[in-house]
Amino acid sequence: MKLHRLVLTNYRGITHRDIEFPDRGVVVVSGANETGKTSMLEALDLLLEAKDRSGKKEVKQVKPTHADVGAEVVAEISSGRYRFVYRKRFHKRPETELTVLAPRREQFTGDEAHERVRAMLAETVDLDLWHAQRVLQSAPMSAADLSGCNALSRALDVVAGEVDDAPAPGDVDTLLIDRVEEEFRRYFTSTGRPTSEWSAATARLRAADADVARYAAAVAEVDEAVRRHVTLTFDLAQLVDESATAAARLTRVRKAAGEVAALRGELDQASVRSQAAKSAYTASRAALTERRRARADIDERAAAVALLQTESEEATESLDTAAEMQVAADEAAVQARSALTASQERLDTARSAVQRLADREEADRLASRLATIERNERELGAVQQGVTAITLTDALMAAIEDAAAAVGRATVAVEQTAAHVEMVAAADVDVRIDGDALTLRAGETWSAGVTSVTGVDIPGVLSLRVVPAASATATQASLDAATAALTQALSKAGAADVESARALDRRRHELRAARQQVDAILRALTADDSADELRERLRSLAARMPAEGGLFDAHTGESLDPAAQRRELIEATAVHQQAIRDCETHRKVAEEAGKLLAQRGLRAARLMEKLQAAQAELTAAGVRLTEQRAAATDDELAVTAEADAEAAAKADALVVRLGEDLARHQPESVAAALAEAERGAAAATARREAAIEALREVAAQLKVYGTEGRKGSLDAAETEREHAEAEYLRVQRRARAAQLLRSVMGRHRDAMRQRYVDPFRGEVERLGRIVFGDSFEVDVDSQLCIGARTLSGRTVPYESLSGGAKEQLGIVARLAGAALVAKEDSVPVVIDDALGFTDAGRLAKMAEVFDAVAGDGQVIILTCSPQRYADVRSAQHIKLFAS
Amino acid sequence: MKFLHTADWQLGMTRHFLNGDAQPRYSAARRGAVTALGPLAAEVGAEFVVVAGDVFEHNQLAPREVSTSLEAMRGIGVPVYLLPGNHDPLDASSVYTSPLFVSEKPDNVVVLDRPGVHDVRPGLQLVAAPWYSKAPTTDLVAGVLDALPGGGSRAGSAGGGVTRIVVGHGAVDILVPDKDRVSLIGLAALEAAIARGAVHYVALGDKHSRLSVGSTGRIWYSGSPEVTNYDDIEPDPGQVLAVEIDESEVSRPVRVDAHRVGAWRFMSLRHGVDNSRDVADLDINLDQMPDKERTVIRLGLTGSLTVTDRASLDACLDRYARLFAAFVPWDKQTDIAVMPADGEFDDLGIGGFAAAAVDELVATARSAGDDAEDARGALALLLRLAEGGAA
Repeated sequence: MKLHRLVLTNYRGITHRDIEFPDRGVVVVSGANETGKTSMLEALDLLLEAKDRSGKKEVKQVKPTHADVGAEVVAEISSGRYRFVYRKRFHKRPETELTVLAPRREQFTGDEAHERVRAMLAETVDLDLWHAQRVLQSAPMSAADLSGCNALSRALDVVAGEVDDAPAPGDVDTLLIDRVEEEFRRYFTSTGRPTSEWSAATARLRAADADVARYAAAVAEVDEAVRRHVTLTFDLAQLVDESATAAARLTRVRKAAGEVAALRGELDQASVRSQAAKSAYTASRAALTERRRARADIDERAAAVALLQTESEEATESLDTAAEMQVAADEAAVQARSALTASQERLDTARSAVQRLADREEADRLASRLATIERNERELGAVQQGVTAITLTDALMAAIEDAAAAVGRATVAVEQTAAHVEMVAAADVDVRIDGDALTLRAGETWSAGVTSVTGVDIPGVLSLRVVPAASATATQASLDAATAALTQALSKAGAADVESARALDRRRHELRAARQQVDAILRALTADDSADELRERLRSLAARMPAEGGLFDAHTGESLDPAAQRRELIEATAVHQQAIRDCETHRKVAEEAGKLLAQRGLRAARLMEKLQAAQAELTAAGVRLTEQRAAATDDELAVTAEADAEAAAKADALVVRLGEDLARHQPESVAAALAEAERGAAAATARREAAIEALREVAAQLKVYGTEGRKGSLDAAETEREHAEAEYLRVQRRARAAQLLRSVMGRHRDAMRQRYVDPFRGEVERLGRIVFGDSFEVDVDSQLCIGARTLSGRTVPYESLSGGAKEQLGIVARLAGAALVAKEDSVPVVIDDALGFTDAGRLAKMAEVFDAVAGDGQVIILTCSPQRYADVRSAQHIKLFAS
Repeated sequence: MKFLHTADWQLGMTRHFLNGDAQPRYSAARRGAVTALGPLAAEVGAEFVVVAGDVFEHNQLAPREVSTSLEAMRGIGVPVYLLPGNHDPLDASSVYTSPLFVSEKPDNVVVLDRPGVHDVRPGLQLVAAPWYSKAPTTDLVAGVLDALPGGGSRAGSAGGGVTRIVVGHGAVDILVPDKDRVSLIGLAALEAAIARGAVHYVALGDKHSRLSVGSTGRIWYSGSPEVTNYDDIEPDPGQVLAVEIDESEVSRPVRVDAHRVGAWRFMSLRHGVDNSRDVADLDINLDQMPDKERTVIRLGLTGSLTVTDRASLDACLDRYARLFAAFVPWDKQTDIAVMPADGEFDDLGIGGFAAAAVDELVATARSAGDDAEDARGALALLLRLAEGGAA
């Protein structure tokens, strides 16, 4: 395939670009970044692979950025014998147009054009190679995978054939390989696991096996049920026999039991009858006994009545005695009481006489005491009078004393201070002193103190006047004052002078002492009773006092002797005491007698009652006995009892006989046998019922199974299994054949490929040595992948190589492939922006490589750095500009 | 007096080797054979039909099978006496006692559900020996014979004017190798009963092929009315016996006519194949077979073939496998050695590694190793693929 021309219109950022490629050799298409170099390659792919209406992402992405129109791609391509111009417009108004120029001119449009191009390419171009021989800036730098490229294989086959000198393999082989693979893939996945037809056959067989097993189990279930039914039926027959035997035995035992029961019935009846006879006998014997007892009873009662009669009479008698005793006691008591009354009177009389005597004595004593009191009261009045007469008091007396003292002192003072006048009368002379006549007898002296102007006048003789000095006057004044005070006090006291005053005072004290004495006596006398009370008592005593009469014996008229009267009182008292005691005694006696009487009366009454009751009972018993005798006489009763005894004995004998009979039949063992037989029969019946039930169940089960067509299902399943197995074996055979064929073919092919590897490796090494030097070697596997590079004896795996080395090796491998393929099979080698990692030295060497392979094939190099490829001498250059 | 003697209908039977739709057709044909008894009975003037056992294939039938079978029997018109056989014994799961059968049983169908005499009409009795389990422990037929009047001593006058037909099922002792099997029908007793005139015809079932037993001419297996097995096992199936008993004579002479009612064939074939001509012969033979869709072929092949011939044989067999109701390899009778011939793969136009691979496969195929068969298959496949993928 060769690309002659590529025209892009409205493609991505490209408005229009038209590039013509040289038919052969290296062409370097250069342009700045984003001028759409890569887009050209992409556009070619879209043109060849996408339909014009395609909505694929890849197509959408290339919509023009600058106008709302459809992207258009036109390419002129020659491929094998074909040469054609192919145009497609995408997005808007999509359109496809194909003009085939050679071998003969044809025109196609639309999908027809598309299909035609696909067909032509499929016929003439190894599209795998076309894709493999690219170094794209977008793709990772993997080793070129050239293994699937038939063109290369063919080329290598040619080379290998030359080497091996073997007939050249043709298309047939490849076709065969494809078909083998196709056949293999009918049964296996690429990794050799069973799939589609083969796994389906396996699964079908497995499912069929499972179904058969399931349905066989279902049928086996039926068979088992049938078998069980047979077993159960057999069992049931046995059980029926068993149950019949048990029933027969039961009947037999029941009969025996019936006999026993009948016998027991008879025995029971006989027992009842015996019981009845016995009780009749008991009754008649009881009647007889009762009759005898009744008779004895009556006798007893009669005796009792007699006894009671006697007792009653005795009681009545003793009652009468008691009554008499009581009358006597009552009389004695009355007498005692009258004696008591008399003695009481006497005592009273004596006592009043003594009282009168005492009163009189008391009155006498009171009168004398009153007289004393009156005398003392009189005395007290006199004293009181005396005291009252005296006006002097203790205070007054003290004042007098004081005044007297003051006068004394004043007198002394006057004396001391006053001119002292002493006159001694030589002959009797009358003198007047201050007017006071004084007769002085011869020899007498008079002296006085002169305190005041004193005129001494001897009448006619002389008149002298003494005038005291001033101080004597004053002193005389105070003496005067004191004297005046004394005088006043004395007058107040009624005393003439101080001495009388003092006497008066002593008198007053004496009187007061006498008054106190008399007062004390009076108080002692009236301490217990006031005089008035005494007087009152006296008066009452006097009032009580008989007017003389009491003081004398009324009868004798003699004054009674108090002592005799007192003796009389004592005597009377003693007599009275005695009378009281007697009276009490008699009263008690009478009381006792009353009690005794009551007791006896009660007893007598009680006995009488008893007697009456006993008599009534006796009468009743007599009546009863009479009545009974009327019903049956004593003799009759005796006869009946005898007869009954006989009958009872007979019945008893019968019971004994029947009991023996029963015992002979062994009722316990019969009963045990019956219970046993019944149990056995019940168990047999239960077993039979259970068997019937089980049988019914199985039958029901079978009925259900019968409607399910289980055998039919099993048959169907077996048929299916048969078919599945046949199918399985058939497919297995085929699958194994395909597997074997594929593996053998593959093995041989790989072996063959291994031989291809040599020419390919030779070419890679030839070209590689230009770049890497003479020591360059590579390992190439049967898939034509470069596994490792050896340089100067050092081997490095491809993956571990540097980016630059990988890139260079990748290009070398592709160019080697391109160089190997036949001329008619060649496709353009496209190298997009590669060798960016390559240094200048290597670049020059790569340029040599390009020159070395630049032959018939096209090598299209897209780059932004055309200088990288400047050394490629054979290269033609096309420069792109942003449009 | 005429009646139809048939047996072994085995309704509900399936043949697992039948292809796809062949099974329903085969089942329909079996019912059709029953249906065909109606017109046949009318044609020969049969009073009734006895089915001597194995009316049904088994007791566990789908309800549909029971209903359609009873409907077919109703169509026969004359009374049909059914004897429970070893396939459909009167056990607890018996189809004859199933509610469906009981409720749908037509009036003309009578189940011989107890051993002994069943009156068909005055002067005509069926003596039935039904099976009660799949494995009886006695000779059932001998059992019912013993109970018949006129045993032994009164030979000759035993019949007493009554015609008796024994209806039994099972193998007669002279026909089987293991004579000790307790359920075998003793021929001696049968012949003795016939000899003394107690019975006049013995209608047997169990053998699917028509067969007269003994020398009396009165003891017959009718065979099944439609084939059930290959002709090497069942040589003469597909027939019903029309039995005529002349009651006017004391000896009750019997005349038995076979009438074909079956339409299917089960055939066993053997063929030698050693080259392409033999394969072509086989092709022609098979091609000429009539009624392929009602024919089952069991084919045994022997010989030695090249891979190419084997491939053409397989292609041929594949074709007939589609045409016949069933086309079954007869493994026991098949022995084909496939040997790649020299130069057999030279003309394939392959070379290089493919040729080397073929050489290896041929070598393996010629060896006796385990892979030989696979290698032959691989070679055959290679041929097919190389010739443009005919498959």
